[in-house]
Amino acid sequence: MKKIIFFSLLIILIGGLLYKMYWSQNLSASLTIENEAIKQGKFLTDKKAVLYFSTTADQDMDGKGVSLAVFINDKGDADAFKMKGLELGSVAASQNEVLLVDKNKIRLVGDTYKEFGMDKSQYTGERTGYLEKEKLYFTVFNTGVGANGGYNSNIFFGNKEGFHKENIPHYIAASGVDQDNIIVLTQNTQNEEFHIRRVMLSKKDMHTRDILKINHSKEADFSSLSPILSDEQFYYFVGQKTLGEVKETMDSDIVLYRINKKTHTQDEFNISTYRNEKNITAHYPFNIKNSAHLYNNVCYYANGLGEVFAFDTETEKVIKKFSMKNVRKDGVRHNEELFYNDDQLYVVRHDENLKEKYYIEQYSLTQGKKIEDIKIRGLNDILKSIKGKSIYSYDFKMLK
Amino acid sequence: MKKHLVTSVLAFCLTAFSVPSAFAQDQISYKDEILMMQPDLTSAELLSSVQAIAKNTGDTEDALLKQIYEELKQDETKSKKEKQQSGKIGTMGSSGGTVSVGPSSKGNFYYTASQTAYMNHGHVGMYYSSDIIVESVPETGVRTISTTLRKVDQGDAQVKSVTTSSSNRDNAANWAFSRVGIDAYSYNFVTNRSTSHIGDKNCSKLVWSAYKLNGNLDLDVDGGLGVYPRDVRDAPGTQLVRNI
Repeated sequence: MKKIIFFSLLIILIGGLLYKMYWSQNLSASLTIENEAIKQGKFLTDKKAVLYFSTTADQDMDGKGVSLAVFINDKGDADAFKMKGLELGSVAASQNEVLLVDKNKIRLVGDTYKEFGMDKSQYTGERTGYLEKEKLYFTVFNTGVGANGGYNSNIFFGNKEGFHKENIPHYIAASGVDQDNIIVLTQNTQNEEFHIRRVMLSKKDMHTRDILKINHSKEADFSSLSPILSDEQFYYFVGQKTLGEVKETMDSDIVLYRINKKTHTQDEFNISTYRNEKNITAHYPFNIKNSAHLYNNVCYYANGLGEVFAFDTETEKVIKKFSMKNVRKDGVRHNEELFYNDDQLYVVRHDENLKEKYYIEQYSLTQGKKIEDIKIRGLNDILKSIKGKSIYSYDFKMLK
Repeated sequence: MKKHLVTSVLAFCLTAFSVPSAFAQDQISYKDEILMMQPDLTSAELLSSVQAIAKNTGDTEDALLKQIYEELKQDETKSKKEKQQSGKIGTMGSSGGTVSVGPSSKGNFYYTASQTAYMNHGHVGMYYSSDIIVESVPETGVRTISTTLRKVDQGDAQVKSVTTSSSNRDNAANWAFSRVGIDAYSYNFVTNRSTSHIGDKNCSKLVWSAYKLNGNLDLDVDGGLGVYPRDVRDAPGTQLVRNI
C-alpha cells in the first residue's frame, strides 16, 4: 500500500513539474538575476548592454504579464531580471545607472538601488530618458483618454530622491530629447493634426510649450518611424506617408521632415519610395524609437531592410550609406534591435543557424562598414524559457 | 503490485489530463467548469448575468450555464486545433518570429492569437485610422496604440475588413474610439452579447458592439451567449485583407 501511495505521489510530482515547465513564466535560477543581486552597488560594473522585453497588454488578462531586462556582461553572458509586463517599455541609462520600468514600478539600478511605486498601473510605454542638466530620469506612458475626454500621456520624472507625476495632455506620435527638454510630436486623432511641443522638466515641475503645427496633407496618412532628433537649428524626424488605401499591397513614401527652430520653416526630403509593396511592414525599422541618429552634421536612419540612409544636413543630400547583410525582406523579426552611440551603430541580430542564435553587430557610421560581431550567450535560452506567453523586444542599449 | 501501479497511473492520468471532461462533469457543476476556464470572471458576475438572461429568455439557468460551457469548449477546441496546425509550442522567442500589425483602412480589424495561462482566447482590435488601433486590453480597458508599434506573432494574425458601407465602417471606428479611456476592461466573454454596449468590455465585445450599433451587423460566427475574438474573425460579412 505504501508503494502505491509513493508511486502516486511521484507521478503527481512529475505531472506538476511538467505543468510548471510548460506554463510557468518563472525563469530557471541559472538565467535569473535575483532581487538581491540587482541591488548590489557594483551590479553594472561588468555589464556592457541591456535589452528590454515584455508581453503585450492583451496578454495580461491573468495578471501574469512579464517583462525582462536582460543584461549582457563583459564576457557576453546574458542574465534576466524579471518584472511585471509593460508593452513598449524601455530602459534609460546614465553614468553607472539604469532606469527600469514595468507597469507599476520604477527602479534605479546602479551604485545604489532604489525603487518607486506608481499610484496607478500603466500598460503602454512611450519613451524613457535621462536629462543631464537637471539630472532627471523620465518615463512617458501612453495612458489613454482621461475623465475630461482629452488624451493623457502620464510622465514620471525624478531621481534617487523621488519621482513626480505629471500629465502631457496629448496623444504622442513620436518623441525625442533636445538637450535638456523632451520634444513630442502630438497627434489630434479627431482632425488628424500634428504639433511639435516642448516639455520642460525641473525637479518638481513640468511645463509644456507649443512650438508649431506640422503641415500635413490629409490626402496621405502619416506614421512616425523615428524618434525626434535636433541640432542647434532644426528638428528632424522620419515618417511614412501612405498613399491611397492599404489592401494587400501599399504605396508609401518614407520622408525626412526637417523643421527650422527659429523660422518654423518645414522641409521634406525623400528617403525611399515603395510602390505596390507586398511586404508592407518589411521596411519598418527594427525599433522605431531608436531608428535615427545625428552625428557630425549627418542624420542617419536605419530601416528594417538593413539599409542605413544618411542625410547630410549641410548639402541636404540623402544617400544610402550602407546595407547590413542577411536581413530578412519579409518583415518577420526575431528581436532585432538598434542602438546608436556617436559614430557607432549596434544592431542585435538573429541567426537561426548559430548555436546561440543572437549576437550584436557593431558598425562605423562614417566608414559605412561593420567593425565586429559581439557574442551573446544565453539570450535564446532566456526567451525560450518564457512559456505560454509571447514576449517581444522593445529596447536595447549598450552601457559601455 | 503491478496491477496497483497500473491502476494508480491510470487514476492519475484520468485526474490530471481529462479535466474538464465528461468524466468530471458528474462531480463538477457547469458553473465551476466555466469559472475554472475563466478564472478572472467572478461567480457573482457569472450568476447575475445568467439570471438576467434567464429572466429575459425564459431559459433555465442550468441550460444557460450548459450553453456557456459548450461555447467555451468549442472555442478551446478551435484554439487547440489552430495551434496544432500552426505547429507552435508556446513562445515566439526563437520560433516563428514577430511582425508589426501594420497599416490598414479605418474600420478594419486585426486578429491575433493571444495566450493567457489558462486559455488562448485570441485578440481583436480595430483600425481607427491607418496608423492607430483601438482595442480593449485587460485592466487598461479601451486604448489606442500605433499600428507600427503593435507587435504580433507571425503566422497567427490577420487583417480583415467588414463588408458594409464606408459610412458604417467610419462610424463603427469612431464609436470604438469614443470608448477609449471610458470603458474599462471586462473579463466576461461568456455572456458579453447581452451586456450593455456602454460600459466595461473586452476586445471582441468592442468590435462586435461597434458594428452592431453602426450598421446592425452581427459579427459573430455562431451567435449564442458569448462573442469571442475568433467568433468576430470568422463572422460572415468579413473578408481577409491580408495575413500578418
